[in-house]
This record gives sequence, C-alpha cells and structure tokens, in this order.
Amino acid sequence: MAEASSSITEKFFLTLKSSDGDEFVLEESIAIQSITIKNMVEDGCSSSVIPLSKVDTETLIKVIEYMKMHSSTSSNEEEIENFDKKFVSNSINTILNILEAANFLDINNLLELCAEAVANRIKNKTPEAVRKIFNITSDFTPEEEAEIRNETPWAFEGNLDHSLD
Amino acid sequence: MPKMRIKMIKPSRLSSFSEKEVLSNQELLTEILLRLPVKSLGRCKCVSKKWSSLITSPEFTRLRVPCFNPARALFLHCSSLLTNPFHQFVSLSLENPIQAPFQKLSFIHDPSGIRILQSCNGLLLCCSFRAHEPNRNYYIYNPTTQQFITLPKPGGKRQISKVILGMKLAFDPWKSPHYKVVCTRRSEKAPEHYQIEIYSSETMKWRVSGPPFPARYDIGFEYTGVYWNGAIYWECGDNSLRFNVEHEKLEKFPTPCIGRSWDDEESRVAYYGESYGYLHLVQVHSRQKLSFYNIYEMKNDGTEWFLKYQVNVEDVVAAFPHMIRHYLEPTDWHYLAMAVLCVVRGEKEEDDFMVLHIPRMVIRYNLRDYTFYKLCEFGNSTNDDDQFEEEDEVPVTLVSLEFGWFSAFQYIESLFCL
Repeated sequence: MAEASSSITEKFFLTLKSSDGDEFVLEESIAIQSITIKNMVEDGCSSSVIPLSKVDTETLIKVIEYMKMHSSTSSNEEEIENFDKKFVSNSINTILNILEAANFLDINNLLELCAEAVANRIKNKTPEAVRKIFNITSDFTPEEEAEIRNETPWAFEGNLDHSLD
Repeated sequence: MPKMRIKMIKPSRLSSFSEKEVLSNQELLTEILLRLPVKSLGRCKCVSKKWSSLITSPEFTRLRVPCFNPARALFLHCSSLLTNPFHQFVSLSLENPIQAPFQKLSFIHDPSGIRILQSCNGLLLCCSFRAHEPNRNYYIYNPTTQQFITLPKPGGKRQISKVILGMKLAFDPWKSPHYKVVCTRRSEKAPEHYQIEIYSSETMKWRVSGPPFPARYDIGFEYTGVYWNGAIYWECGDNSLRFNVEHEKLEKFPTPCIGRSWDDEESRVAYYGESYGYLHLVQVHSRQKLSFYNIYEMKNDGTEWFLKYQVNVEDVVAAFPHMIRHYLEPTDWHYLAMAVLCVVRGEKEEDDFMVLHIPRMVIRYNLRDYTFYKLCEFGNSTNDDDQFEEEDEVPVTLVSLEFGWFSAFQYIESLFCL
C-alpha cells in the first residue's frame, strides 16, 4: 500500500538535450504535452537522455517555459492568457524557430499559437515587406507579378504596412 | 516543487535565420497562411511562385473555407424594372463588419444589367437582368477574387423548349474542385414535363441528363432551389423535388408537419436555405402566433426534417411596432411585415442566428438566447421620421417589405479560382 501511494505522488523526470548539447531536466507530466516525447516515453526511451537534434537551446528554453505554463496543475486561465500574449511578442525569428520546434515536438497548441502570431505579423504587410521579413527572393518576372496583382486589385487597396517589424 | 534545472547555458547566440527552412516546410507555411484574411492572401500570392501556387491550390481553398464563419454578409437584391439591379450589402456582424465587394455587378459589361440568381459556397450564379431568353447570359462569379466566367449556352435537343426556366449551381469545394450547373427547361414531349441538362466545369460542356419528368407548374425552377449535400432541393409542399447532381437522380422529399390534422390547419414556408452544411426550412403555422417560427433542419441523410429551434419573436414586434399592418386582421398571414432572410449557423450553436427583415431594417436574432439587434437601417433616418409624421395624417399607410428570402444571397469568402 505504502509503495503504491508513493508511486502516485512520485514525479518522473526526463532529460532533454538540445542540438547545442545543453541538457534540461523536466517533469515527465509536463514534457508529455509533446506527443513526440510522449511516444518516446511510451516506447521506453525515457531512461536515457532524449536528444532533440532539431531544437536549439534558445528555442528549447522557450518551449519548456510554454509547456510549464500550460501544464494543467500549475496555472490558471488568466495567467496562461497573459503568458501567451507576452510569448507571441518575441521576435519573428524566435517565433518561427518555436513554430518549427512545435511541429517537430508535436505540441499542437503551441503550433497554433505561433502560426497565428506569424499570420498577425504579416497580415497587413505588402508583398515586398513579407519577402524581406522571411528572406524570400521573388522568382516572378515583373510582368508575371503585375499580372497576379491585376487578378486581385482589391487586395492592394487601403492602408498597407511597409514596415518590417 | 522540483524546478527545471538548466545544467548549462551557452552565451546567447545570434538567432539563426531559419525562416527559409521553416517556410520551405509546406505544412507549416500552410498553417500560417490559413490564418490570414482573404485580402492578405490576395497580396501574398505575389510573394513567390511557391506561395502563389499554394494559395491557389484546391487543397488550400478547401482547408481555408471552413476555418471561418460561413456567411459574412448578405447581398440583398434591389431593383425596379427601370434600373439595373444593385445590391444592398448587409454585414452579419456589427463587431467585425466587412466591406462590400461590390454594389452593382459590373464584372462584365452587360447592357441589361446583372442580377444574382444563387449563392453557393462562395460562388454566385448570375444572369442578365432585363434580357429575355434566349438572349440572357449566365455567369459564375467569385465576389471575393472578382473572377468570373460566362457559361456557354446549353445546346438543347429537339423536343426541348429553347426557353431556360431555371439554372442552379452545384458547388461544394470540400467534395470536388469542379462545379456543375443544372439547367431546367420545359419539355415539349408532354405537358408539365421538364428536362434537365448539366454543365460540368471539368468538361466545360453541357449534356442532357435523364428523361423528361413531370413537376408542378409552381415548383419554382426559376428563382428557388437550394443546393445542399450533393442535391438541389426545390421545396413545393407535397410536390417537393430534389435532384441528386452526382447520381443524376430525381426524387421526392418530405415536408415537415406539425400536428396531424391538416383539415383546419395551415402552414406556410417562410424560408428554406442552406448554411454551413445544414439545410433549414422555416414554417409559420396557423395554430400558432404569426411571430412564432418553427425552424426545421434536414437530417444528414436527407430522409426527414426535425425541429431544431422554435422561437417566438414577439419581442422584436414589440421593439419595432412599425412592422404591424394595422389595416389587416391580426389573423391575416400578412399582418406582420416581417420576412426571414436567412438562417445562419455558426461553428458553435451559440452563434446560430436568423436574419429578419422588417420595413427599413434588418435584424439579427440569436436562436439560442433570443437576443436581437439591428444590423442596418436603410435610407436616411431623419427623412424617414419626417415621412412618418406626414404618414400619420394619412389614415391608411401601406407597410411594405423590400426583400424576401429569395432576394437575399449569402456572401461567403472563397479563394476558388474560376
């Protein structure tokens, strides 16, 4: 009996290793918000260090912050809401890195939060600004681009945002 | 409580420019783009060839549509025989109003004006307004992207009248990237027989479908007919017909009824239409008050109707008594100048509402909590007040409605490329 009750309260810990080689120890109940990690735990890979070769240290710290805030027991709704608001004010590079990590780690809420944040940043931008923000080079000829613009002239009406922030 | 222990943190590095990498992942780029408003997507098509082909792909269009509330607004058809039709645009949300994509349909120069015949999952079926057959042109128009095509004329066969009675668009972007148009004509083989022809956007051709069939003269092939769940529904009491577009099969479908005795009771259909994948029929019943609406929903398999909502809108009548036609008996069907323009379903049931038209106003009525508010008022209100004062001196004033449900067309944003 004593053994059984202690196993309920006992906390399991996992060690996550970033692509930069930094190790983070995290409660299993928090870490398994990531379906990828959950599957690894269920497959019995949790005793050793879990290598996350696609997530760098800076991004992993953010992801862990997010998972801790969103784990069911520790935070209330208002706290979570405020946290999310602050979270999406990170730089767009950081958000994109987190988005990629959320995809790899399979944390659906985080993926949605980041995708929404990126969309909000670019929704009023001109195509030129979007290209600069994302470091994309246009592969259209000027004629092709003019043609596409003419298909939807209404999309270019009103106040557009040229800034890159 | 155990905390996360960070064993080692390297000094902060310059953040890597992984945008390209993230955005080369089609899945992630899709996740981002799906969350953009239609106007932004129109601009984002210019970013690169890859973005353009992703945004215009049928898969993306299909994913994009259900993310949003289906109908954002209504086009209300206004016309007299003398002027070309124009459209009163009514945004269905006061908090989140959207701009009218057009007032007059002018995507092509049609000297007889253009009117909307049907709205179907983001596309509008339109036709020349004052022209008569066979000079009438039919168009498919996407009001969001402002693209259009002119439909070729159906070929017809011997023994089919040249006169087109009705055209119906069958378009379901979740089922197929192609649409079909169903044309009904009078058959000359037998009286009160009709013939269906089908146009497919895939083959870009018309062809005759099935043999001529009998139908009631008042079935309303011209202006009624709703596309839902793969079939076109023509509601006509006990003579209702539906045409399954995929299987090209014509069949009867039931009408809802309250109570059993039909001898001394009467009911009227105040509306039928589709919203967000649901087919609705609104009935007013002589046994109940005129402010009582029975809103039926068709079962998914199309076999029968069930009562989804029952609402008494007497609060609306009390708030806007100018809809009462005092010159009529309170039992007269027309005692209240009020029409259902649309039943709109949302993602959540709390969002379900009905759009009502009363003289000079359009009202949004929530079907779950029975709250309502005015979506818009037509004309200059001070002028109207003046008119009212004048009207008070006249003993009888006609209270009239400008729109019925067959003149209200849903505006659904769609990126579908024509």
